[in-house]
Amino acid sequence: MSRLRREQIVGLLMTLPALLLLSIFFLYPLFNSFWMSLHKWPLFGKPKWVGLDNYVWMINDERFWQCLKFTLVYTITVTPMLFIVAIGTALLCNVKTWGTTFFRSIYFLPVVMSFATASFVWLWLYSEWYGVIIFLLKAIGFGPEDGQLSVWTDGWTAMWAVNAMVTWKFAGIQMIILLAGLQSIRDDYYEASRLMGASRFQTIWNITLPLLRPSIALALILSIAGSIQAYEQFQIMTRGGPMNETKTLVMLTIGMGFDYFKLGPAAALGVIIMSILFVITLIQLRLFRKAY
Amino acid sequence: MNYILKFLIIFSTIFSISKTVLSEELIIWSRGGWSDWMVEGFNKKMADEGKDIVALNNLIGHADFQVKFTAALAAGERVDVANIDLINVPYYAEIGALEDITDFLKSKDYYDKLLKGMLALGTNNGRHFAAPNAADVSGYVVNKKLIPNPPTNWAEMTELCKQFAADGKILIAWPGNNYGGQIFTVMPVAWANGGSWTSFDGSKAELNHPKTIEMYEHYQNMINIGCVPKNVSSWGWGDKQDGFLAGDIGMIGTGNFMINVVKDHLDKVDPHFMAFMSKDGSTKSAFIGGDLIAIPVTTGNKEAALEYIEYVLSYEGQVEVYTKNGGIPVRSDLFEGNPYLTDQHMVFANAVNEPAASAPFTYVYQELMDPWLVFNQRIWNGEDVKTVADEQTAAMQKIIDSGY
Repeated sequence: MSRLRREQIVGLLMTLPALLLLSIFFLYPLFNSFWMSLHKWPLFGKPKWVGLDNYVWMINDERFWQCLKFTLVYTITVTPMLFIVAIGTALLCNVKTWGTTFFRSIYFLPVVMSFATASFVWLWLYSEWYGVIIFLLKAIGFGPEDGQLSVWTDGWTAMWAVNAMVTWKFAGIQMIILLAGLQSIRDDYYEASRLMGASRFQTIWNITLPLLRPSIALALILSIAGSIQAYEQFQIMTRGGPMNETKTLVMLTIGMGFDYFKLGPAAALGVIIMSILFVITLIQLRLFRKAY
Repeated sequence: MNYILKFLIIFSTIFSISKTVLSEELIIWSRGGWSDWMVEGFNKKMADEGKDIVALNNLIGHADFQVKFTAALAAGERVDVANIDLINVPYYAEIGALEDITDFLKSKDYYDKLLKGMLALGTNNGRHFAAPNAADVSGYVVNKKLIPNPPTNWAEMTELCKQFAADGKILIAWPGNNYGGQIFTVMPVAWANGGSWTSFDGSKAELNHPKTIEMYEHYQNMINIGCVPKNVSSWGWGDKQDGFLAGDIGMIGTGNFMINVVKDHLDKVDPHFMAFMSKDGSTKSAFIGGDLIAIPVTTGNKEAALEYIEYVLSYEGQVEVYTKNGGIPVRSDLFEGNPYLTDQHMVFANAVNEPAASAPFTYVYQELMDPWLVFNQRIWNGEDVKTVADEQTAAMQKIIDSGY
């Protein structure tokens, strides 16, 4: 056996454990979900082939469109919030001065907290009885003069309340991605722009942002993919309310499968969500293709 | 010395294995903490009778029970006895997850005394698949420090509401964000008034019943008057209970468990329990909730499971264990002369016998909670009651028609 062949076999053997794990925990559930989505899948008894009926039923269900609409609105609103905070903090942390490392750690700290913990903490901050945020909002004139101020009575304010928490939690990770991109930009470009008399804004617009495209692409792909799959923050903070106005697609999927035990439609929803993510990611990669 | 040590090790191993093999284990799944006392009582009885049956209680949190229980059933995991929230039992009975215990129940002399409302939810096509086990009955609790004369009809409630609103106080609050809390403490007021949630067999959504609409207009009117918080649609169960126990709310809907809870707050609350009432106060109602006890088809020991159910429904189980620890017995023949039922308990025990007291029968309860919650929150936010009722009734009917 040639040396190259031996190396190929050794390489394959080295990757086998990972392939095995991938097959068991990703490929098998993926194909099984797709198979389930084509059946009426009772808890007891044999599954019954129904073809695309589960998909047709889901698409004709008003709940699906309400959840899809909210999920997309949430994605469109939280993504720019995340990005603006992340790019701002990344630019600040890119300045080589005293305290930069300390602030970089502070901005990243919320990332290490679990989503559930962060949701409960912010639920407490938004409490109309003793929440600090509500107290501050009332102090600057929000809410009724008499009575309680609650962010949870309206779908729109509930969504923005959750957006604030998500921005606080995830801007740190996006900051790190963008900071890595910033630090990979060679100083020669900035030196040249200084010599040519460019202003700070012109430097950022014409040099920093274009060269940062790969990092921006990655940050956006992660942000959008994560937002489409939003679950814990809304399950804990709003439970989909008020009036199901903040119910996400993943909440509907989990409810369909684990509350209503309609496993076929739940699997169909899972496939639909995966397809949406696939299409959106493909579009993003094409748009940012030049970055690569 | 070595021989003695080896002998002791071998002997203790054989002893522990044989003890496990010889004892018949009974795996119980429960939601409520009281089940520990019931299992303890049963095990003692079995030991006293020389029977080698040992019940092991698996206490699952209320929020997780249905998912975990259903997953266990689907996986074929052995569960001998399950204490299931009664509202979910019709589904399990319908899909064939529970053993038929009709002959067992009918052989008991107390069969006719089992709480009918609870037994109905364990019955499918005339056969019994679950028995009443632990009753949670709802009603009002009034703080007589704030309301010396509790209202006896809706007109009196409205007058009280105006007084409380004028003083900037809260007369009544409810968990507007909690679907289970509202079906437990708000819907029974509509039942007392002659309203309906679904038809008796669960095949028809009836949220837009005129008497239900009338009741919701009454509650919405109180919000408009100002004695109910404007943002009650976002209140949870804890919000209204904590507010009541702190002496800030005049009355709330609650359950019989509140009898024990309020004992620690008598400095702020002078509790008066009463049933939900119709517009003129003549008809009373309650949500008859709690657990039913059933034998899943995955049981490994049906005979021992029946022995456990027999104990639970016996005088000892219902009185010396359950009522002694604050519960309401599920046999009406155990109300009178029960040494542990106080006047406060009797309010709930009597409510159970009211014709309007009920719990809805449906195979798709969890899925119906969506339109039910939307129905409530839209009304608490001020929308026209009839319009909302018609729309959400249609939404509920669509779910019922699509099946489980």
